[in-house]
This record gives sequence, C-alpha cells and structure tokens, in this order.
Amino acid sequence: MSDAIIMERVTKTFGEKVAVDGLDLRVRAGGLYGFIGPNGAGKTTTIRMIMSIIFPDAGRLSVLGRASAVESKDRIGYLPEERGVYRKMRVGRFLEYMARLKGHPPGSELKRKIRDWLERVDLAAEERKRCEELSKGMQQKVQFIACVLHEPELLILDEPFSGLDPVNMRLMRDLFLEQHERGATIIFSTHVMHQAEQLCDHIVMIDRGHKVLDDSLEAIRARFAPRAIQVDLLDDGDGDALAAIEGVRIVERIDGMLVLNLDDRSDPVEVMRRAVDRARVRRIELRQPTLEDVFIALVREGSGRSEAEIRAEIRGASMQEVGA
Amino acid sequence: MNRTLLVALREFVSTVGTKGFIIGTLVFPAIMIVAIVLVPRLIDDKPPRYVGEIAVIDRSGWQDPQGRTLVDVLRQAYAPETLAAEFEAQKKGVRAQVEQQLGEAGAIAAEQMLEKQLGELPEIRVVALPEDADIEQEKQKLLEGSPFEGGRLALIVIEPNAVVPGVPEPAESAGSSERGTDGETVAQEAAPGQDEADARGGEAGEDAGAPSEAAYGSFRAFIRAHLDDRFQDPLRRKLTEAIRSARIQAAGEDARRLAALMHVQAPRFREVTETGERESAGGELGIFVAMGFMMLLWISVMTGGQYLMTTVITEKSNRVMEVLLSAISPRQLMTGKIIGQMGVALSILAIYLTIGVVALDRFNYLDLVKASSLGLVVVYFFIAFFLFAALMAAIGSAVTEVTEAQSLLTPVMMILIIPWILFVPLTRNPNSTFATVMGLIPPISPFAMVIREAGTDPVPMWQHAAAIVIGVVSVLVAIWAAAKIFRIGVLMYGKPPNFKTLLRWVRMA
Repeated sequence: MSDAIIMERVTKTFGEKVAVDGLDLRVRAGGLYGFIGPNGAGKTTTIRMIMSIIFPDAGRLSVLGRASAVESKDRIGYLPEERGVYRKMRVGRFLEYMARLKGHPPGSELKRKIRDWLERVDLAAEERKRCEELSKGMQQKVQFIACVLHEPELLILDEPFSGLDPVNMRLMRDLFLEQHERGATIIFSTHVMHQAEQLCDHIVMIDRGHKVLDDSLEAIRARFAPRAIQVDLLDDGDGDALAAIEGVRIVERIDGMLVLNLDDRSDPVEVMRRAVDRARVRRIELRQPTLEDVFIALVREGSGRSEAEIRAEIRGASMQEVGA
Repeated sequence: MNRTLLVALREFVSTVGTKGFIIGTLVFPAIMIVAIVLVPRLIDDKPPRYVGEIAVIDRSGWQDPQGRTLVDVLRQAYAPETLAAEFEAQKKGVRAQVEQQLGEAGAIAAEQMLEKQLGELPEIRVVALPEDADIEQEKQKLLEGSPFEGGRLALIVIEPNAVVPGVPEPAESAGSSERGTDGETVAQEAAPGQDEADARGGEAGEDAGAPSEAAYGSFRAFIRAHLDDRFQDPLRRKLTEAIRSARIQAAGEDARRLAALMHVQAPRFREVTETGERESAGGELGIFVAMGFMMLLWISVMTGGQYLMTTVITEKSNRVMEVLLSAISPRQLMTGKIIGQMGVALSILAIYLTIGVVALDRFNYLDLVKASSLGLVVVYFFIAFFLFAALMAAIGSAVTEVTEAQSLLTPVMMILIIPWILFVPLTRNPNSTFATVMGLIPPISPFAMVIREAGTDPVPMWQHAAAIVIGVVSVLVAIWAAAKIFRIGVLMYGKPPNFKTLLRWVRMA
C-alpha cells in the first residue's frame, strides 16, 4: 500500500524553541495511527504542518501524493484541537458552509447528507438551532460531522475526545472506526495514551520534537514483552523474600501490589514459580506494559530523566500546546 | 463557487443580517433628521408670555401735531392689535419664502413652527413716568414682582435731545432737563418750513463747535434680568422706530415720503445653473458637499473596517479559525473577508450617497455635485477602504480579544482623525501647497482628495491621477504586509503583540 503522508527530516522552530526536530514519518494509507506524547511534545505542530497551516523550516513533506496539503485539502478532514463553531450560525447552515469550503457541491444532496448525519448523532432536532445554543459535547459532534461530510481520504483528529462524556466518547469512537472501515486513513493524536492503545493499530510516539517510537501496536507489545511480575500476597508480607529471588532486579509497591522488575537474563516463568514457593500468593501475573510504561522506558533511555519526572509530564496535562 | 467568494458572501450576509448593522446604519440618518427637524422644535419652545409694564421716562418732551408723545407711540406699538398684525405679517412672509423653496407642505410646517416659536402674544402696558422721576428708585421696581404677573419689565429713559438736536447734557438734573425742553421747543418751532440740512446747519450755528452728529440723543434702557431675546429685540426695534419717526416729523419731513425714498427693494440674488435658476443661499455651499463627501468616506471605511476586525477576532476567539484554515489558505480567508466587508461598506456608502443625492435633487442643489466627483469619491472609497481594511485585518488577526486590540487601534484612530483636522484648511484653500502634499500622502490622501474635490477651485487632473496611483500602490503594499501578519497572527494565542512584533512578522517568511 502507498503512503498517505511522508515526512522527511521535517523541522520547525518557533523563536528559540524547536517544536519539531528532524522528524521522519510515513503514514500508510488506510492505517489508523495514534500520535501520542505529552502536551508540548510537538504533536499539534506536526499535524499543522501536515495540514499546511504552518510550513516547516526544513525538510520535505508530501500529503496524499502532493507536495503539500494545500493541493489536497479537499481530500482531508481535520478536527483541530482548537476547534469552534460560528456561534450565531445555524447548525445546518454551518455544516453546509464548511462542506462547501471543502469543495462539496451545494444542493439537495448535501442537505440530505447533513440531515442523515445529524440524525445519526442524535442532533436532528438541532439543525435549525444556532450553534451557541448547543452544549459543548453537541458542538463537538457537529464539528466532527463538518470534517467528514466531504468523505475525506485522510482524517486527522487532534485530541478528539477531550471534554466528552463517556457516552459521547463511545459514539465518537464508533463513528471514526466506521470512517476507518470505509477506507480512510486516520491520524489521531492524544496525550491520553490508553485511548490510543484501545483504538490504533499503529503508534507514533513524540517527545520534545523527536520521534521516539514508530511501530504497530502488535510489534510494540512483542518488543516490550513483560519484564515484570505483579504479585498480590495473602498476608501483608513485605517483599524481602521475593527480592531475594534470582533474576529480580528490584521490588516496588504499586497500588497495593508488589511489582517484581526482572533483569534482562531471567526467565519470567521461572521467577513466578519460585515466588509461589516462597510466599503466600493470592494472585500472580505477568505485568503487561502500558503505552505509558513504554513511553517512559523509551524516554528514560534516551534522555536520562527520572521516571517520576516523565510520568508527571505525561499526566500533568496542564501545559499548553505551543501555538503556531 | 470560488471559495474566496464563498467566504465573502458569508461575511457579507452575516454582517448585514445582524440587528446591529441595521440599527447602526439607520442611526446616522436618524440623528441627522433629529438634528434638523426635532432639535429646533425642542429648543425653540415657545417664548415665555410676559405680562408686565414698560415704564418710560420721556425727557424729550416731544409731541406730534395731534399731541401724542413718544410714550403714546410706544403704547400704540404694544397694542394687542398691532402685535397681532405684526405676527400675521411675519407668518405670511415666512410662508411665502418657504413655499417658494419647499412647496406647500413645507410652508405649512414652517408656519406651524413659527407659530409655536412666536408663542402667545404678550400683554404689555406702557406706562409714562414723570420726567423728574428718580431713575435709581424706579430701577428697583425691576427687581420686584414677576414678569408674568404685571411686574416691571423695562425702564426706558429717553434723553432730552433724542428727537430734537440739542447740546448733549453731561449731568442729569431737573434744571438741565428743563433747559433741554426749552431748546427742543425752540427747535420744533424753528423747524417747519426748513429742510433737514438747513435745520442741522442752524443747529450747528447755534451750538458752535459741537459736532452735529453728536447733537442727537438716544435712550437708555434698563431691563429685568433673564428676559427672552424675543422680548428684547422687538423692544429695541420699536423704540428706535418711534424715535426715528418722531425725528422725521420734528424735522418737518413727511415720514411716508422719506420711507418711500429710503426703501430700496433688495431681492435675493438668483443663481443661474445648468439645471435652472434658484435663489442663492447667500454663501458657498461647497463646504457642505466637502463635509458630506468626507463623512461618507469616513463612516463607510470605519464601519467596514471595524466589522472586519471584529469578525477576525471572533473567529479567533471562537476557535473556528483553524477549522477554516483546514479548508482554505489564510490568504483566501483574508481576501474573502475583505471583499465581504467591502460589500458592507459599499452598501453603507450607497445608502448614504443615495439619500444625499435625493435630498440635493429635492432642493434643486444637485448641480453642486458633479457626476465626475461622485465617480472620484467611489474610486477614493476603494483606496481608503482597502488601506484601512488591511490594517484592521492585520490587527484583528494579531489579538485574541477585542479589548486587546485597543492599543494597536490607537494609532489607526489617530490617522483617521487627521482628515477632520485638515477639513477647514483644505476647504478654504483646496489648491495650496499644503493641500497638494496632503493629497499625496497615502493613508490621508483619499480623504484629502475628496475634500479638495468638493471645493470650488478645481483640482488638476494630474493630481488625481497621482493620488490614485500612489493609493493603489500603497493598497498593494498594505495588503501584502497584512497577509503576512494575518498568516502568522491567526493561530497565535496569548499575549497580544505590539507594533514592533508585527513588523517582525512582516519581515519573517
């Protein structure tokens, strides 16, 4: 399959700050890609460059086979992180306007499509209301419709779930999985890594303007095979006995459970057997690394920052994405 | 449809369709109507109806052959019948004049206004005081009572030589007044049979060395404070008239014959124009046309520019900007918005221009505005609009909230005040070196040129050509710079930039 997006050594700086630094990226057509990384990592800047809203200082970029998205904007649907609606415009008119800006021909065909979509997301009654009368969640659904009405080949969603309640989150997820099944390439960016884990088949991790990981979810799981064992003891015994097992590097207590981190040479199955021998175990299992764990492991390797520091950075979602 | 035009269309419809626009556009003509029609009605409420007395100390001692004194003449002038007749005559005069210019309806309206303005007829008694009455004591009565309930309104002291020339009296005393009276009697007896010049000559001979003009006295008048001028003016007129006619009679002349000799019909000048002739308004009306042209330009440019800035800021603060930019380029967006707001400004210009032209045509003053001038106004409108639209789009794109725009707007507003300052010097002297230079300096040029164009002195064609060329070039530069600022600014949130930052953006990329 061909590539929907090709980026080669793309760099973008804002004043002193290097937002994206020599990024190489290929997005396979038809793929469902997750861009993950903490806030300020350079995800939005990368996406804006793909959309040709801002232009790279250096490097080469191709979108849907064209040199820039300027020539293929009509084939892309984009839900930016900073998204809004015309507050005074009526929902139906707003959607019509956006679709026409995307090159959709006007007429009854477009009107019918808008009605169908509004019905699907349970907003049929709101078609004639002004956008400002809608709740934030409703507006988000309207914005989603605006970026898929013209049936784009490439769909880019920047933090699509922020501010949605669980019910609408599920609805949105279903809607864009449906777009994926239709054959659209989807790029989905988030700082909430478990969302990407649930959805994507390919993960691109970005940290401080650098790509730290670019692989399919399967490959990542294989590569980051469990190197830890999680033990729940019947009595509140400390882990001293377990720490003594050969092959255990260190024992941590996380969420009331003991986590045995293994060194690289040991066999997890052998360690589990020995643990059961030495302690009264209620539950014991291999600890599957989450994307967050993977991210931390990768970043720690590369930068030498402490785990707590990186975890705080990922979870502390307060830092503002640096605007273009 | 072209996407730039799609943006323009949305911009136009969403601006013109708002209540704010409709009200805003109508407010200006409404204010004009209020200023022209309502305010005079409100201000010129009817004058107070005075009921009181005018006390006269007549020291001239003059009587006409029927034995009537100046006081009697004045009393006659304040008689209810006389006042009513004057009132009617005034009404008729105004009506005739207005009818000629505005037609029947206007005349009736004017008459109603006048009737209101004149109010009810006052009720005034003219009282004679003895010649030797104490002036200071009589003055006190001006402080007593009410001017609406019979109080004293005025105290008039007619000097001894008011009617018949005599020696001016430096001091006021019973004796001098006595002598004056004697002198007058003599003069009155001497007067018949002589012509005016002889009488004066004789008088000059009598009082050798005294200049003959100074020999006539007049009157002194003391009035109650805060009396309406519509009471004061007639009083002054009636007094001078009474004394004048008394002097004529005393000099043995026929008052009516003299009046006939003195009165020369002086009709209003009639201006002859291509479209016919009309009565001259008595001055150059070009200044109103200049004012009209400048206001038109100013209001339409300001309104369009303000809307443009506001909608750009709204799109930013609504966060709809990035959604738009995923579909169109910043340049397309800016161009579309400027074209849309140009439509808005052009609508305002067209509405006001139509009102203005219709009004001028109605009053037969259409020739004041040449068709070529109107054409030039439209050309200069485009230059002024694009210049300011580029500035406003750039400012709007650079800030996130309307309030943040204030500091960047201040210099723009200062530029927009300049045409008002230039207005007077430029209308007075539309072809001075100063005016020529102002007409060629870009942001002010279009305003200066329409002011100059409205003047009587024609502006050389080459200057129009130069101003237009300079204007078009500066528009291109402004749009080019604005597009750069716009492209960077629209996605910039946070601290609003200053002018230095904006200039850096222009140099960037």
